[in-house]
Amino acid sequence: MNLWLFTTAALLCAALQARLPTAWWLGGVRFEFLPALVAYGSLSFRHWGGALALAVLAGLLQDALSAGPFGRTSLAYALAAFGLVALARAFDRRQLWMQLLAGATASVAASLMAMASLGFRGAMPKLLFVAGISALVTPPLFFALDLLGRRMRSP
Amino acid sequence: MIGLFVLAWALLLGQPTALGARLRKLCVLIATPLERIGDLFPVVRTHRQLAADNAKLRAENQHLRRQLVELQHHRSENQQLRSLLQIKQAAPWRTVGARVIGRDASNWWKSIQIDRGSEDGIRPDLPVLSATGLIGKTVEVTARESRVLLLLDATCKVGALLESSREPGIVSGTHATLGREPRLQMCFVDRKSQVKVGDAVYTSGLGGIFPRGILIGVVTDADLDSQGLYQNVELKPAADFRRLEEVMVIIP
Repeated sequence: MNLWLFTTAALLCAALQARLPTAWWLGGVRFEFLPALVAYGSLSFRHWGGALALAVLAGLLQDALSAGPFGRTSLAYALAAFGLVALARAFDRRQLWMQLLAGATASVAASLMAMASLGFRGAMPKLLFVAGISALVTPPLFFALDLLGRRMRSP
Repeated sequence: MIGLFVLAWALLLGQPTALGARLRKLCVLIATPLERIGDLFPVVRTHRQLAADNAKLRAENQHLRRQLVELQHHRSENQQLRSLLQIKQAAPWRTVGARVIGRDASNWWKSIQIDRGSEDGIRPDLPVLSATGLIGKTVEVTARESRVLLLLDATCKVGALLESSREPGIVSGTHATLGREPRLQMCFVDRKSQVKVGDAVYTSGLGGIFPRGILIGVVTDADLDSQGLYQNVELKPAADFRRLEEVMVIIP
């Protein structure tokens, strides 16, 4: 996998996530692209090191643009990546359900880590909603990055 | 020669003879289509002129529309700045105006980034206001930028007073809200106190960060908490957190 592609994608995802306005008609929820990127990296890398490095980078970017404790989201994404790499060895990454599940898993991991600081009371509906939106964002990101990867490899 | 020819021709045409009449008819026959063709040229010229005018007016219209949008933006910015200036002039504290340059990337934490930092006298734990009310406090400060933890965040807690009953409590945000306008909650309000919907809530000055008397919001609902010891009061924030552009940091 191309290091430059992932680094650029991580920066773009972080910028998009921070800059896109929240829609109050959508419950005031922000579109999260970094969990989708963690899912993509975890299912695409053939080794733990790359997946974990990308997860840590994505988490650090999110924490740098947030008021949350620095490093916690990195830990959450790294744990999610650890599980998803194992899952990727058993299933086909091109399956839609696999991509949806991976995006939701990374999002839930980050949300649980945030709730450990903020409290769990009454937050379950929002957690599920945020995870659902992250899951929906994941397949388009897979498509875009796969396409870009193919274009970069072709002469 | 030409002059003489024209004069002879004119005299001949003017004669009431058969030859003169025929010549006049011949001239009319030749001249009429030429006249029609000649008439076309001004039309073509006018059409081209109109097309050019139209393009010019369209460009001018676009330019004016852009100017209008810019003016509307400047007007709303001006209104916000005037409101902030009024607060600044009335306030007994030193204040620093700042522009909002970023928002929180997470769904669970509520913060904004402003374009003022330690070089402008900003330090952590300073109150931040908008034109309409309190919005939060500074938490992370770099040389030229600062992060402001918003009142909507569950970890931002403010000592507050109900305006009519002077009942104290603690106002904070909630991270679990979904699908509606942002709301604040005021906890630890005495269960026996009278809480009226529409009652204003101000900072109490307790806690050492927020000065007394800054508007936080108005009461929208109240009920007993799960243990029945206190009332939980729901507030509509005075500040519009969706349209934060310019804010003011209070430096005591």
